[in-house]
Amino acid sequence: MTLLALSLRSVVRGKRVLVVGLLPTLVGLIAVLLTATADGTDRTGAYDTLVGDLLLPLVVALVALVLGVNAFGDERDERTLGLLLATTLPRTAIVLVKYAAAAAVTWLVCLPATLGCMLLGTAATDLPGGEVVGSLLLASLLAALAYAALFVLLSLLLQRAVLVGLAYLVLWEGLLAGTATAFRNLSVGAYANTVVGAPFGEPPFPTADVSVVVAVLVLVAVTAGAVALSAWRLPRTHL
Amino acid sequence: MSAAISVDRVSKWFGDTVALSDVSFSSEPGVTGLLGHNGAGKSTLFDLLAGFSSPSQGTVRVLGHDPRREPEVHARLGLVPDGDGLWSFLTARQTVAFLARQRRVRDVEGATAHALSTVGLDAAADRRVAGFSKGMRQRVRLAQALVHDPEVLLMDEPLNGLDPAQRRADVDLVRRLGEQGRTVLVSSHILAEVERMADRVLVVVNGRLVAEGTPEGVQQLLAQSARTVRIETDAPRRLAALLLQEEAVDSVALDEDGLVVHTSDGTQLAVQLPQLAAQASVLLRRVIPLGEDLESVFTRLTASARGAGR
Repeated sequence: MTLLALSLRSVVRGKRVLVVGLLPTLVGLIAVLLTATADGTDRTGAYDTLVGDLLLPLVVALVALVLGVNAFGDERDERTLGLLLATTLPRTAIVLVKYAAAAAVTWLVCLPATLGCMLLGTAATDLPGGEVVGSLLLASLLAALAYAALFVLLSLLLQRAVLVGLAYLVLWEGLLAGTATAFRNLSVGAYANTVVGAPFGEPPFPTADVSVVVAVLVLVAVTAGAVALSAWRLPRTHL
Repeated sequence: MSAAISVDRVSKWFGDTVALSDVSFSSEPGVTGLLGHNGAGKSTLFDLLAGFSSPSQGTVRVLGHDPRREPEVHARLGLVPDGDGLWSFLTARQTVAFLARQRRVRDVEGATAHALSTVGLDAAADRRVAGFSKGMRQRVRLAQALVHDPEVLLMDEPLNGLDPAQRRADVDLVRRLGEQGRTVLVSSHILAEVERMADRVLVVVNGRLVAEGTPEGVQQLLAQSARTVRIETDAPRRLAALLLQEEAVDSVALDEDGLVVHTSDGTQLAVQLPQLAAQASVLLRRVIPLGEDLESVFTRLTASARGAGR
């Protein structure tokens, strides 16, 4: 078994991943239902709401919170970190691989919601179909990468990372960045929304005040920074 | 060639708490026992040796390498960490094989099978460790520490939570590992166990190394600082009166054919007693140190070193 296989099994074991998967599955189902039932104007409004308010700032963020925090949280709870570190693996590799597993599973678990939105966006709105598909795939991937990186880092810095992460999502990303435009450029969700808002001329949901390309770069930079900080932090974590 | 384990003037503190204070020792092949109560700094020392943290002061070397900077050293170092941590979703064999691979073992399958049989886990090897008893979990943790045939073994309280039969088996296993020429550092807070496993004992009290030597030597060394001595003489009353004037003597009790002396400084008493006897022309028939068992020595040392750490 490789470290990646161990990390993936660690992320998907037990009921947690099923419970976490309920939310994106529900959102995906709602999107399919809306595609089948609502009429033209409703559908465009529904797409805005699902993509802009639910998919990235809520669904992807929450899944990333649970899976990201537990990437090292599980090792700490089960007291296996000592075994994992009693290897010749470079510490940076341990962080990278455990993070990659958490981010990849986050993206996969959110896929039902992403695909549902894709169906709604291509079949039931006037938006260009290719752009809808591309922006959804790219934005969900970037959001999963950035949120997971932040929450892995948080779990290495704090004991109560789940609570702090939840407070961050609700208070900062949701309340402050969601209502006050001044904070939008300091919110991961807003940058992800900028990317997913690419097919719209003027996205009808909160976005960061930058171009799509800059938003992509910011998300990549946040990811890289958080992973680098985690790699620095892991050897300094007191077991 | 440098020692397998070398700890030089190492201190480690966390904020205001001093976990280790100016500890120095080195270990050669054979079993070294690390004796200390819970919280004495044993696990802190193991963390430093495994490279999980840096000393606040001083240097730590394992096989000549700085374990902090060179995780490569784990290819030649086996660790049984404190606690009973294991990945609950893996089988015993998967666990040991995974860790073998991460330490560059060539024949992972063969080495895993061998390690599992060494600790007596052949039958349960393919069961998930989630259902294992504490003793079986510890067997898996021992197996993973042995799978890469390491030159140095660090075992933090490996006998914790085991039943008496398992304890005996593991004491034998640790002895065998030492006889094979490995450098084994094994910690315990139970004196009898350390005595049975180790050729050499280090005593850690509140973060300080307070004694080291053979189990017997350490016992003697510890006993020197303060002890009870029984003296048989032809003139017990006269000797008692003389002894009571000495500063090192706390009390003297007379019995049928001798006296029992409590002293705060056994070394000084050993020097003074023959001089006193010669001056007063008292015949000393026998001087017997009353064996203080390690347990009580340990308790006393712990009490006297209190305040040096947590």
